[in-house]
Amino acid sequence: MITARDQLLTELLRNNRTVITARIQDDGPLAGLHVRIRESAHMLALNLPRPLTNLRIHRTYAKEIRTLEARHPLPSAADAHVACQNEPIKLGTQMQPAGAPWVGTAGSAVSWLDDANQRRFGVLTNWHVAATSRYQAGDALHQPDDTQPKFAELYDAVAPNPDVNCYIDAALCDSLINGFHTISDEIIGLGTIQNPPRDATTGDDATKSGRTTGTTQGVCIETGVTVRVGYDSFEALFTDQDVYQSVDDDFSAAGDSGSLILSYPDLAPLSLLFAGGAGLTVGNPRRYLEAFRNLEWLW
Amino acid sequence: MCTVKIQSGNETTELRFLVPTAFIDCLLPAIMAAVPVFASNFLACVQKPPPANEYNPGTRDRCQT
Repeated sequence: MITARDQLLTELLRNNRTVITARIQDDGPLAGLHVRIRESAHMLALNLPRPLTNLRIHRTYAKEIRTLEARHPLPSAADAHVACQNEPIKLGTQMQPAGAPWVGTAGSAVSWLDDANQRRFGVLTNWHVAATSRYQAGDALHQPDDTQPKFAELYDAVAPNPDVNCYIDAALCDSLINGFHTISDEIIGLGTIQNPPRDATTGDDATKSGRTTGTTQGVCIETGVTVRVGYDSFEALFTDQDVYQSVDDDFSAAGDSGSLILSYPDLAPLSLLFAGGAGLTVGNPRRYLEAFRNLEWLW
Repeated sequence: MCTVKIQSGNETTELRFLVPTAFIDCLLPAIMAAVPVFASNFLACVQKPPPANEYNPGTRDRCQT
């Protein structure tokens, strides 16, 4: 049986120009369709799935959402987030694959199960920060950039696929170098995680520590969002994502990709920051991340 | 972090240092001066790897100028 959600997602995949994000609320038969579009209201009739065009449109936006790695010329950043650190390296810091023309954020300390069911320890960041199609498992990752020694090796990643619904853009980076882990369980400006992870909910106060904007505060304005995200050479549709908005200044900017978004002030992991634009920040929900190699947060 | 084993006769003494292994090279002259009777019996400086499945953060200097 084809559900309204299936119809909508099919339409979103077909339509690559106007619909940016969309959400179906599960509080009634088709009653809560929530669509965000880039263009003006009269475009709705052209771009909504035909069986659903009689539904009320709650809000419209004009937003561009794309990944948040930083490229040259690199935007300015707080010194603490771009300085080379001796071990143990606090997270929320700049990282770079060897030879990459971009930088991102080494966001949080995690562990995961390897192929032998042994737990490994390292950094969680985004696929588009640590991997992309250029790099493979075992490749060196550097902090803050590749003029300094490697601090981790790429272990595994989940890449976005433009042909299917995506849930995470994530990479695991093994920090075991010559017998010791290079990283701390602390995050610059925040300290350690203080509470178990939980799902974000609308209205949650949130914080993050990232390469470019440092430690900032925001609020979760929506969960369960479907969002089309621009990558260098393709777009990918992410489903069931968390969306945040800044409280004062920008909550995120280019270079903050890979940051961990935590609840504030109780510091529980909520989402992995990976995209944004025009005042919005998009994060992969923690529950999907934890399904990736049985990921656990270090705290 | 680092264990220096010193052997005297049949006895082996372990001195453990909570400093990066790289520092032990600097400390060795001081150790040997402090325990001259053991100096000729210095065996090895062993950096112990962490047990499997255990998070073990290092304290090594890594930034190059």
